[in-house]
Amino acid sequence: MSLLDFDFMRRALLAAVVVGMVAPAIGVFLVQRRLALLGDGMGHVALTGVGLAFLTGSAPVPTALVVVVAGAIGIEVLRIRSRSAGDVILALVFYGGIAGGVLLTYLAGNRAASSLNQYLFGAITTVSSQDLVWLVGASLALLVILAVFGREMFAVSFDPEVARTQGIRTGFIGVMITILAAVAVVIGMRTVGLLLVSAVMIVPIAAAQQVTRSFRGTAGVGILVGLFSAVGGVITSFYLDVPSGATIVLITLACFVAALGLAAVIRRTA
Amino acid sequence: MSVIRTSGLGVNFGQPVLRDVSIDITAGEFVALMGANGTGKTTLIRSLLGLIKADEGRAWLFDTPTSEFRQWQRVAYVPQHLIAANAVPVSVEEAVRSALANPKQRWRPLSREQRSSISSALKRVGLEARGKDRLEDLSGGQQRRVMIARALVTGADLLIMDEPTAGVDQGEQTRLAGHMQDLHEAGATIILITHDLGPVASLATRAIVLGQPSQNSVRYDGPTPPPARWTEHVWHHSHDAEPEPRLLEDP
Repeated sequence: MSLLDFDFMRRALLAAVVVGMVAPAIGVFLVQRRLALLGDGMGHVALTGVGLAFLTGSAPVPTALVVVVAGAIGIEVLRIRSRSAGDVILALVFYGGIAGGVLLTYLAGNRAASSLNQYLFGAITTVSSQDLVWLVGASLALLVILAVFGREMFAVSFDPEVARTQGIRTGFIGVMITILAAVAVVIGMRTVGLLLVSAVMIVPIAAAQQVTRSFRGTAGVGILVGLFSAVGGVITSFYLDVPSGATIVLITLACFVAALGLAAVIRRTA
Repeated sequence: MSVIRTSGLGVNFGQPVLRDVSIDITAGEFVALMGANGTGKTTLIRSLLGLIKADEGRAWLFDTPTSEFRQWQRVAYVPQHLIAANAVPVSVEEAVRSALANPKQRWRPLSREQRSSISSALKRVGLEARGKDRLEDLSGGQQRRVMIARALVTGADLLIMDEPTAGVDQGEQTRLAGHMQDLHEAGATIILITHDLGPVASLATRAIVLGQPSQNSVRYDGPTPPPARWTEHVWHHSHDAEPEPRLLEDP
């Protein structure tokens, strides 16, 4: 039997394509703004959303989406208004997000606690049709926003001060990038898990930047690496019967190591 | 027409950095904004561009209060800092293209003219062959030229450059001066922050010298070159006739 004969695998592969494409597309802006760990912070906030969904009996994906977007706005407000440095704000979000998630999951009872692992480490084979509708919808919205605001997002990430003198509302664009990162985290939640989702946003870009010369090239190669890792990870996990999230991340890291080697060869031959 | 006008502009960072700056720069002028370190040259420009808030006085860009100014495509700013180490590689072409990001054109792709203006701007600064290269692989002087190409591509009629010749060798300084001359001859108003006029000495038509803000930051406002006694640093370049300053108190 082929893996496509299984409904759950068809859904899993579609979810992998969505994550592999969307996560690096927003990750490239996070890397450029030196906010590579933001995705991790968002992942912790999403855990609070999942805990809240368990407690209230609502669907985890949309609930996490709402909580994580609120968290993203909170982070940007704190970054602008507080006297704490950006990494301190992220640390606060890490602690608050995970503590909130654990507490709410505990209050929701034993059954919730046992399904928490699916969200922490990903369980792509349990992606439901309803989840898929949310994932595809959120991804399409994210891609449309990238198409419309991409030039301004690049200008702000490249040189925020000059971007302001071009009439770009840099604060608004900064919040938008953080919100898009939050949405990407929720999109990756079911596939690679909240603790590993940031890797799919950042590592493909880190791999791509070893061999590219432009921002657009880095985003393009990063998306290819993300797609290869996510789809490859799902197929590998199916045949080897190993966890999908960890497999996807390890393949991404292998791509990074391969890119390092390729870059060394390119440098030697140039 | 007044391009930049300030009235009693003052900025404090705990203590006064700029005090009572009243200037009026009209279209087509080439102004050298001079002064020693810490006299508020960059602060004045950042305040005019709305990057920092003035504590006192008022400022206008193209006869519009800066807080209400929206025609940012008329202004091109080349900051002092270089973007030498991007986290993600940025090509020279992308750096120039970034100047065309404009909220008013959010829903439209770049036109054919805009796309071709990128290559012509790079050609004008002699970097047409480096468009696909990583920005960080260029020398400091070449990166300055990329930033000037960024300004060229906007077609702005006010160009503000903050020490574009800092850390750049003599040959590169002369080349940069040539680009500024081209822009000025094409009708742009140019404001150049500099410690030392160097190769632009013959181009700048007016000098504004800032000093420590004891009472009034503006020490001299008149034709170039300013007399040595009005500057607070060594004047390296010879000048035959000393012009009469329009302002101010003896230093």
